[in-house]
Amino acid sequence: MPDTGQRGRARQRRNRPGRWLAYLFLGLGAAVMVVPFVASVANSLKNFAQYVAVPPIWVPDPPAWSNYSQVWERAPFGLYAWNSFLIATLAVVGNVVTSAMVGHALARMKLPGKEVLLAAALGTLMLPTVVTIIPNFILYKHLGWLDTMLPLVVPYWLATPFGIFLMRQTFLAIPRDFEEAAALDGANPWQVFWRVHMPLAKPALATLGVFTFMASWGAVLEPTIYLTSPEKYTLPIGVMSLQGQFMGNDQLVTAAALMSLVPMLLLFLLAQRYFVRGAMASGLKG
Amino acid sequence: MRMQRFSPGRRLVALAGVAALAATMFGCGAGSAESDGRVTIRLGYYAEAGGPADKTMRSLADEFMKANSGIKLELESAPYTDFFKRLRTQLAGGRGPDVWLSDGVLVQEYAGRNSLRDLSDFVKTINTDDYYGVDLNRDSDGHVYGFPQGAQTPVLFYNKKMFADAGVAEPTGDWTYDDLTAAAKKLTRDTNGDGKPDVWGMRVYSPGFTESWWPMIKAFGGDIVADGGHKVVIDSPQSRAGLDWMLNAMYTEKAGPDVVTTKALGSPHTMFASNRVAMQFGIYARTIPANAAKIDLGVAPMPKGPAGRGHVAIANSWVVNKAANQRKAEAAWKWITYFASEKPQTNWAGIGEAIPINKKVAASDVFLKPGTPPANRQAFLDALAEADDLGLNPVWTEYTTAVANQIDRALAKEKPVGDALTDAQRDAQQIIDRFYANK
Repeated sequence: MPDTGQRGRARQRRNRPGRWLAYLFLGLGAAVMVVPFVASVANSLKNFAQYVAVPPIWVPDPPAWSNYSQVWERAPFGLYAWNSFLIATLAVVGNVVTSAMVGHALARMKLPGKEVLLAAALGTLMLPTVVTIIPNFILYKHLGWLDTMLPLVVPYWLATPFGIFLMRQTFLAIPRDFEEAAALDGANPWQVFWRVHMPLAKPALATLGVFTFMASWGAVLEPTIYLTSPEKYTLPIGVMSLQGQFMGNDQLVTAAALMSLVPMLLLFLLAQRYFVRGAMASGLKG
Repeated sequence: MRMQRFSPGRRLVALAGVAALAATMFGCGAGSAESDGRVTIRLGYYAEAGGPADKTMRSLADEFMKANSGIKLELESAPYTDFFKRLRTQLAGGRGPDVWLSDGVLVQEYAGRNSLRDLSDFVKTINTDDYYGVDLNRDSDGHVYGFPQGAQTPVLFYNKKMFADAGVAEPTGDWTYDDLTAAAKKLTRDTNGDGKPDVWGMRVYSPGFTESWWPMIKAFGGDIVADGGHKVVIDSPQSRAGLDWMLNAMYTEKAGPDVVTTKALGSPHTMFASNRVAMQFGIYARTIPANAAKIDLGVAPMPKGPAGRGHVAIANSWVVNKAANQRKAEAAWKWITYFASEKPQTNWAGIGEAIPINKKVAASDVFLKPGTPPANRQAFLDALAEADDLGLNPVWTEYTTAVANQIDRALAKEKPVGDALTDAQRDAQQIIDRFYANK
């Protein structure tokens, strides 16, 4: 009998240079990703003179920890975070429920011209937001929704093209046997949707939820246009509102931006399992 | 499959939750209710949240409302870029603020697009000699669409410590552009021994042309537009002389970073604050980063060119929405004149962003001796008194961008100066002609 253990170790020794090369490439890749983040942390701890210094100072001495407290003194960031959380959560609920309903109808129900409807919905994805911002502004003005959170939430309750597409693809992939079995048990179409198909679509729903949360949480243009009262600001425009015209305040903006990352980071860590699985199942890149 | 039923208690809690949510969502929309007899005007301005300008503006608004119980101000602020992004949408959607703070260079742009109320009749009721910058807002037909809030004009900023270290005499009011080049050359150094300068005597080029080629071209006798902003006149031997001085300073004397290096070093506004250059042309607001970086700051008059000092100025101004009714317009004018009065101008001068437009405040110790550098603040006032506008017209942003694109190429040595000026004149004139042809 050949000594497989010895052969394995020999193969490992032969592969060692390759492995080190792989580590090197991975390390370089990791550095490329991490260095900007580390630089941001360092920038958030600089005073103005340190921030503008050439060549750049990598480790501020002394660190300006006060930048973080100044951010909180200048603007109510707790309130901004709450506003963002509220808007993003309502957007997630609305988009997940309504997109699933529309996606389910397009995937499972007999509906004349549903392919055309899907194409029309997907076509709106091609329109940049700036093209629709003025018509939307006029619409919201007439509805009395300006300077409220409604323009940032209600559109998500009308299903989004991306959500419809994602959910339609998900429901198409579910075998018909499930609904046939449920129908034999007396389930009506709503019950099939809610009790049978929705549980099977959990990974896609989670993916849609995370994507929606990220889009809503990070939205800048719409909140900038629609919200004028500072107490209604969301976190991104709260962060941007620290930008000075004549001095930049980049160190404060960086500190605020880093703090605003924390909720997203927590969400990603909590939903990572669903997120990766859903993204793989849908063939989408994050 | 049985529906779950909520208990009455749970229903009540759910209803209360929905009501609270709805209240949060709807908030109190920015209405302009005048049911209490007060006239409500929406007032927009640009400022960083919680910064000195924002705090001062809010406190002045409170004081104004206390003194004018019949007027309620609803403030809308955002940082500069976001403010104008939002404003464009608001105006297009028919819901602009009633009165707002405009960058001085944009007043005629909004007026030319029919968004502003003509303030000429209001302005006739006050003595304009008491204020700086009123004429900077007068259009070619003599109409005034904005009233100054604060002024900016460039002078020569210099780093006193760098001058002392190099043993170079500080700038004076007698300096010419030749003196500027000579001093800048002496102040340029190679500090890391790589054979290339890394500290320069002067920031010659800046993408912010108010502090760069615009006053330089004027100092050499050239100009950018004439005939009330209708005619582009930049293609002249004098303009060429101004740009040649810049090219000589950057590439022959190597006394200033070239265009590529200037852009590579980050914001040109921070070069002086980071001790990379010993001199720059700087508007008054540049004292803020210089003082924040604890630069030993001095200012001097702009150097003399063959045709003078090329002074230019911007009067950031209050403007009134054309859609505002007479009652709101009168309330807005009350706010504007209040802001131009001594106490608010004194408070505003305290934050150090702009030269007070109230001449009495500008001539007082509040502005001239505030206890922070620079000492010779009179240089700003002397420049302001002689300054021209920045070639304002309704297509200012568009035509100056066309001119700047060509000049930047010439200064980066991508194109001969003569060709760049010819092309700049052609491109800019087309933009202006197109606007007036469609009007």
